[in-house]
Amino acid sequence: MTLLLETRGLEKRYPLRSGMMAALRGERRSLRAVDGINLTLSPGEIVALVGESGSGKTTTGKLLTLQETPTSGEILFEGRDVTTLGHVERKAYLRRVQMIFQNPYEALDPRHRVIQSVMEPLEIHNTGTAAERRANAERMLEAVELRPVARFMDRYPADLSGGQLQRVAIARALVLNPHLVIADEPVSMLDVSVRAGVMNLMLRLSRDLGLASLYITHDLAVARTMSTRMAVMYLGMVVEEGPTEALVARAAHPYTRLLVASVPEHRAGPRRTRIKLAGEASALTSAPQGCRFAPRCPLATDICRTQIPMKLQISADHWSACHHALQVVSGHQVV
Amino acid sequence: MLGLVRVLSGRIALVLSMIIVGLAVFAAIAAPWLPIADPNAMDAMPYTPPGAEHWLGTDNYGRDVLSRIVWGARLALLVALISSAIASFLGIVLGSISGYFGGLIDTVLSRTFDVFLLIPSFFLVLLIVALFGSRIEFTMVAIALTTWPRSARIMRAQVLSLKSRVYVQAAKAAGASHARTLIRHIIPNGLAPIITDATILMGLAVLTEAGLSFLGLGDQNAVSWGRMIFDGQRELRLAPWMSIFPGVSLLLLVAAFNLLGDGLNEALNPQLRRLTTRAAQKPTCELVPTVPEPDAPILRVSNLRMAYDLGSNSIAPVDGVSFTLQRGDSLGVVGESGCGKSSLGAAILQVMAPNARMTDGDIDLAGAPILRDGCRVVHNGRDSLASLRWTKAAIIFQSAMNALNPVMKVGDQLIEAFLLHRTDANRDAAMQRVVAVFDLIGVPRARMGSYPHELSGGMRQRVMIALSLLHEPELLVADEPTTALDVLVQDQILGEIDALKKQMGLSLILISHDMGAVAETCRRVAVMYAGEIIEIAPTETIFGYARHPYTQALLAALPTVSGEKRLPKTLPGEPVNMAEPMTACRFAPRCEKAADICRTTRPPRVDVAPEHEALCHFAGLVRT
Repeated sequence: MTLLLETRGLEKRYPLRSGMMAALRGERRSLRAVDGINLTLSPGEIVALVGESGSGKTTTGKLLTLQETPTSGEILFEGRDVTTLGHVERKAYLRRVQMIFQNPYEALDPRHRVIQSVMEPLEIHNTGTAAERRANAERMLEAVELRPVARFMDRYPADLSGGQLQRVAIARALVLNPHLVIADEPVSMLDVSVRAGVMNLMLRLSRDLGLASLYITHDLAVARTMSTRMAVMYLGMVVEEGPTEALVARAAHPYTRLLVASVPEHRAGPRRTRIKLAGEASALTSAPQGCRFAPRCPLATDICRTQIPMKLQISADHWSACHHALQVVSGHQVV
Repeated sequence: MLGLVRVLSGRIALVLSMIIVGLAVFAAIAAPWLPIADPNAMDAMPYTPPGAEHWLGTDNYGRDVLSRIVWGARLALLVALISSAIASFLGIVLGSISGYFGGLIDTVLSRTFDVFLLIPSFFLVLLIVALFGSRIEFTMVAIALTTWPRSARIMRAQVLSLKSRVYVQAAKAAGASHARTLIRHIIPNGLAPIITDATILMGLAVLTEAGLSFLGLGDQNAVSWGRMIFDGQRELRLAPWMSIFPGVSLLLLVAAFNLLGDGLNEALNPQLRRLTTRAAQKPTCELVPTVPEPDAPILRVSNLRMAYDLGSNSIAPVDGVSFTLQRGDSLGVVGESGCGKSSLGAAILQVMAPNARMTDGDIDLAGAPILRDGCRVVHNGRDSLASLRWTKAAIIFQSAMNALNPVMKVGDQLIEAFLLHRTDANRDAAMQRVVAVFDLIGVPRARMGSYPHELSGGMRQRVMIALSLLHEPELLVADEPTTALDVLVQDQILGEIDALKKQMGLSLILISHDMGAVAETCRRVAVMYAGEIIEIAPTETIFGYARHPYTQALLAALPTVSGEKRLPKTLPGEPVNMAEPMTACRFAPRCEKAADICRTTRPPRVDVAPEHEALCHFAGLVRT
């Protein structure tokens, strides 16, 4: 099967301002936001990219939508590298890849009416006549269930609730019939009762339109609902990847296990026993010695602190970058 | 139009300045048709004092002063309008380019602005006029050239902040060109301060033109206030009206432009607008203190109601809430944003926003009355809560971790907070107590010497929890204590709060939007909707046998990581508008099970089982 999207060794570093002495010594430090990731997406597939803040998941989304330029690596869309495109081809790519942002309250221009915001991508890409664009936008508002459309289309963002705004943002992203949508935590700022509606809407639209999505989230439960495959990021690297249900039930990386265990369960009962997890993830500014999760990992041994773990294949489509992956997957107590 | 009325209300200076500017504009436009003399006609008696024929008198050539002031307004406004338009346009274009593209372009343009600002503007104008002649067009261009960097700097700052907005990024991600992004999204949203500043520029332009004319460098053919003042000052003894009236006109117009600028700034800039008014509180009530019963519950709240005053209307975020919390017990308060859960938390400790007021209800803290019928209880003029806050009950707010003083070591902040309430203690005792609470919540002692910015979000929130525990409160109200934190850290802190509860025998009210967080930390759960507790029950009952359709819908809407994968169930509609009065069940419009009675009658509070109440007409019926 041909891949829709593939990244090869995708890397993004942000230079850090270093002190005068360091500059004199010729030291140049940089923040390794995304540190060589290889992701694949097939047409119509929904992959969740999971991680905490600072894991590089949002930067990955920005790289894929060309809002940031990679430091190195390739982004192949239908087999072609899109990081080196000329102006016209770049615009054609941005037409087929759309982004949905986290904060619906800020994602729409406060001075534009709903219908204007939804029509804008069509205007940018010169699609159809003005009347066709309007009809298209109205059809899209109907598809995201903002009914009656006539009541919503002339309103300003300030008049809508968070859930309604996110529906407008989805309509805006889908109005160009893209092949791929990058969704960056689209429901994390919404209320619980509204969240389910937006998730179900996105699932239905993906299915109906045959849309592929990269769903970026920190919430394992949301990732499980939305995706069939999952990649877990930690400090700029994917540490485990595999079918969503396999990762939720039998993760082979201690970090994934901890993420799964940290989701509070919606039932009463004695609190799960939990281990003390050392510290918080801090950004990487130099190449790590050994496993980057080792400083916080309850299973870390000497090898973890000295050798960078290799990918270990657990099954055909499931791998983990952990020295102790086999122990973890066979149910070794992590949590 | 309505918006304009709202902006103008209560701003006398703004209204007054608009009237003056409006009058000047009218005079300038209507000058040729007004029943006034020709401003250049010398057919009257020179030096005629103000009178019936010449209201403001005549000048040394017998020209009518009133007519000349009216025609002078024409010149003043023309200069103001055109020079500030040129300056604003240049400022918007160059400021936007500078801020948007950054890098070398920004460096070069910014330095250019700075250089222009350094030039004494009046002398540049003098130079230009001296070199190119004193035609009015040159004056206008000269004024514009010396004022545009002001607009450019403002616009640059606006663009710098606007270009990182999500909707700007969204436009770029959709493929919008730089020009489109700037013209459609950035500039329209950044114009407000430019417009404000333009009015001040107009005042400046009027003054500069008058100054030039006064010096004899203005357009000789035009009627100018500056020229009139110059002509008048030689005859000040003989005909003071010649210079006084144009002088007053100049003063009024320039002052009006400046006031207009200030007023517009206040009206257009939301940060300067005072959104909240202080709500009128109910009078306090004097109660003779009684000895609190030793086994009284730590907190008893009954029929609590509070309101927020929002301009002309008010909403009731807490609308008849009652519950009792026994010592050592824990209650989770869950609900969606706007349901009133945070307001309830603030009301318990009476630390509400200034526009909030209690309208009804009683609160007893550890057996001591602190609120009666919505009135704060005082003993001998002293607020009964003042001595109990922090020592009996403490609150942690949602964004508390950002409330630490950035320039003070966290250890010192805690020591100070301890000594504030314990005047009898010395610094060593305070230090010991701080170390003890740091140990309790898992902050390493070495962190006492750290500044807030040196700590991670999780550590800062732990410091805030430690702060709330300094005086060994019996009740802790925690409002979304972990919401802004990463999942793993959130999990840790919830675990620590849970442990504290057991170690210190702490009573806990945990306010959260997260059902899961509450489920694992609290023995009982109260579900709030539109200002009311619609269901309250032991945690396992809520999660296993909820009776209220809203509770059931919330639970069904949550995705899970355990068990069989199932799709979350959509709950239709949006949370209610609290400004509307309550005549029926507030959840009815969104409820699958709603019957006619739900839309007409307030539901009763049904005792389903011991400790389990639900506010639903059908809560008492057989479980479905």
